[in-house]
Amino acid sequence: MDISAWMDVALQKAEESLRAGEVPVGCLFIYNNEIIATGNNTVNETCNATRHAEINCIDQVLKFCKEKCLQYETVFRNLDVVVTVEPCIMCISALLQLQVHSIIYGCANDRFGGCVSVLEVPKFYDPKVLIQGNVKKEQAMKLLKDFYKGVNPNAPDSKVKRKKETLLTEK
Amino acid sequence: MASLKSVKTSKMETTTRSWTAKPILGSDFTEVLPLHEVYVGILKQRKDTSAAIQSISAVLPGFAHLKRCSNGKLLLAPLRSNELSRANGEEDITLGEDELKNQLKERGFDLSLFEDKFQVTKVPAKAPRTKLQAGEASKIWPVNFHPDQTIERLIDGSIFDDDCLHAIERIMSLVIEAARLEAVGDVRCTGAAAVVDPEDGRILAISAARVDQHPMWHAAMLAVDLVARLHDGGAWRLNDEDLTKRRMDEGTLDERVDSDVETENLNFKDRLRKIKRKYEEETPLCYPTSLSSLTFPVQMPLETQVGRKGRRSDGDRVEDPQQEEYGRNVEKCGPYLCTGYWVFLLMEPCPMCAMALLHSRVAMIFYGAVNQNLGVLGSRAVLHTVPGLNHRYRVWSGILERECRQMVEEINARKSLK
Repeated sequence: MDISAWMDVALQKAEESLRAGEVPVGCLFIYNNEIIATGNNTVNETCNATRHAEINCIDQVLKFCKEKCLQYETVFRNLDVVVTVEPCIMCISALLQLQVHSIIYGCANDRFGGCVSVLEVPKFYDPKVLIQGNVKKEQAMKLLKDFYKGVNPNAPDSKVKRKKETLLTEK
Repeated sequence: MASLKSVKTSKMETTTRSWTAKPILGSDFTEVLPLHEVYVGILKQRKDTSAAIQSISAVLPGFAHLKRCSNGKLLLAPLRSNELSRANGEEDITLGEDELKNQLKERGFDLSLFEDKFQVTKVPAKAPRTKLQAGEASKIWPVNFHPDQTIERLIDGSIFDDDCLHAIERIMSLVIEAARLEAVGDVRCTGAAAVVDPEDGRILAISAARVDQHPMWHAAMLAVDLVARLHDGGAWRLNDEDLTKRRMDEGTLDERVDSDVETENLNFKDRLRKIKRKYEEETPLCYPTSLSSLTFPVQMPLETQVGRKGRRSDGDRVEDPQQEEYGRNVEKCGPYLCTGYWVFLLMEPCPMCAMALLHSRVAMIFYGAVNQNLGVLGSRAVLHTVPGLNHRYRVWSGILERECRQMVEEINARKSLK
């Protein structure tokens, strides 16, 4: 499967996330041409702001490695990440620390993006990891806009309003 | 004379305490101000000074951060019309002396006030933000400067009173002990973390890095998940005892899936009650669990009147209403993530941990040892001042710096022995 086809799968995951009331980000971890982890954002469910799609996928890979008796270090180094939105500063750091093979993302993340948008995190690390953005970015962006138009049921009252305002000013 | 007295005691303390809390501020506050070249006109007669200032301000406004005239020299215009365009990679547009003279003449400025030849000199290109910068800048050219008291109190450390500094030191000592007992990190990030509610000083969670068990188990990441657990969430299975309890909870949750609005409200109140009970009975949550054997300091509020005032007059004006709003929301909805909490770290965090704490909306971060390798709260970057991020925390370094640094060395040495 090529990058574009993988991104379609990731976009489907993002849509599922939107329906579940979480931020619509879809993420796939591909190893040996096979999806070994897919995840979405579970911040509201876990009350933990770090539970982004990528972090959830990392946990799945660790579990996968345990079950298959594989060394996780080796698996991560041969693993490709496909995610609909530019990973945030935290997630890109996690992926770079694990030295994944490549990171492909859809739209830019103007609020938290750690590849180019807000802070260029790769410059702090060994630059071996391939990073490519803007793959099907329009679709990814549309899902985000749909989400912020709606209501995040778990955020305190004011947050919801502010998110809407931010989005309006961003446009 | 209470204020005088407190100044005196804090002075005494700085001599007895081995460390100083250093605020990590954006480069706006710490940089040596850049200089740029400007034309100055030399007044033939000093008595014309005020008339010349008035006239030049009308025809060529600018230099708001500088005195327009010093020592018979009048600031006219920068040599390069736009420093910004240069930053954008555009070509310099240099203003010629004759060109400037023509402009002045056209706008009705009386050039006979000046000596024939203009001089070129360097002056600070932007306004100073701190007393220190203003002092340095005025050695070059007199500046217009009004110190921001909050910023000055941040810089000289008087924003924390003595009790608060003692409490900070006690919590950092605990973090050091936690690291001694359990921390297994790597060269990127190591140590231990504590999350504290500043309002009552309750230690909510304490953790030590365990990258031997999980590559993401840095101290801050663990601490954030422990707090999530307090809120009836959490993603990692951090100890078996709680795990069984959580399974039971999930069982009861499943039974009430089709609840109507009324029972949902009840469940919600239930949840709040449960969280409150957890705060009172289960804190501090510890990972690894052996950390519960540490001696915890006596609980005391950290947010003194001084501290609170400081946070309120944060340069970011939006901060204040947000805080109050948050207070109301806590009563209504319960605590949200780590909003408002203070975090204590043995070592300056890596980008993953620093951003995790930003996502979690903590209010303050205190760390001891710098992390030259990958620290982004002062060493490699100053994450919380990066434009674009609506930064949510203040950062202090140097808390028990020597002790923290020694502990980092100790735990790193321990790791290489294994």
